[in-house]
Amino acid sequence: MPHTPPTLRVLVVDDQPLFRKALAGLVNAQLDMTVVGEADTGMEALERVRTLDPDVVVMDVNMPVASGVDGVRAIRGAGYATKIVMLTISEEDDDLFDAIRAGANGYLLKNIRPEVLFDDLRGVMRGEAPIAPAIAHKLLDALREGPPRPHASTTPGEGETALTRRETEILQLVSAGLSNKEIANQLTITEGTVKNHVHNTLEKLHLSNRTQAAAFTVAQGLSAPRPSNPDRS
Amino acid sequence: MADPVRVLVLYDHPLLGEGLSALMASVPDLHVERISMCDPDAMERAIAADPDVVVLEEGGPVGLLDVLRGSRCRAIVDVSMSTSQAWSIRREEISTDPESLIDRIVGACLGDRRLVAPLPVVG
Repeated sequence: MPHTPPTLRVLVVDDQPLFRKALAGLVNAQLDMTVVGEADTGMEALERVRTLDPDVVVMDVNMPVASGVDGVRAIRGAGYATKIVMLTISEEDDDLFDAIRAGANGYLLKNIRPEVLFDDLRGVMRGEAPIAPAIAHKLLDALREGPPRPHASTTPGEGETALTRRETEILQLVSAGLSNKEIANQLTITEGTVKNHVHNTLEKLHLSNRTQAAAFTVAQGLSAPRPSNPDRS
Repeated sequence: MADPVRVLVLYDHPLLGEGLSALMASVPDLHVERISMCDPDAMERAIAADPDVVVLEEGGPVGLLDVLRGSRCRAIVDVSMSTSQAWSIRREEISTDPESLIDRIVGACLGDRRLVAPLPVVG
């Protein structure tokens, strides 16, 4: 009797429904894989892990409300050892290191070929740690030189949590009065990602609104230097 | 029986392009083809495919204008990896004669220009 490999039960977590459905369709077309569920935030991922017990979670990083890194932290914090592979367009150092530190088993980019992704998912079940070749050098650099230090670490309360470089950058732009849309345009990221960073930053700093964030930035001397005006030379 | 709608998916990210094509191919009235923008002949192949609708992934080497001007497709659906929004554009060729152009601009917002524009004063 031919040996049939066990079916890999996959949970797909991504806030973009089109991409999520496209990916789920491709996964379901694999003979040895099936999508057992979908979620669109990191926190929803934890709920699905609880109820569906997938073998592997394929999770985006930048999602509103609760990011993929938040999702990894929540799943690990709840004691689940489920394999988690990040699948993202983000090549940011902060996202990569935060995800790995939080307990992700792999970090892949969305420009991956489907067949390579599927091989990587099979590999992660064998204990491999798939990392996109384009960003693997960042991990090697970090091993040689130590991981990049978080950019700002001053918080107003106890239980301090350092801001990432990106969060600090966005905090400075919020304090300069820019809207989420303007920040998104300036940093060439989506408005949803900005919203997510703003939310995380306020939460880490125990602040409740943008005005408090601006006051905090000034008080801590974190304001971005004003760009020089070429007309006033 | 009507001919199926010929859809061409012009994609940058294979996961999105291949997945979306497979998703649409399961709809009985759609005939779906896909072309990767990484193919140096992508635009030539897209024109040769002569689709009714092009689903274009934003942000790749082939842009909306390339498709609008190069293809004869009736509609373009613009999708992106990084937003939940998509946009559809019904493609229509119009004359550059100023009168036709203004008719089209007004018509696009207000309907038939003849119904909304003041009548010309005849001297």
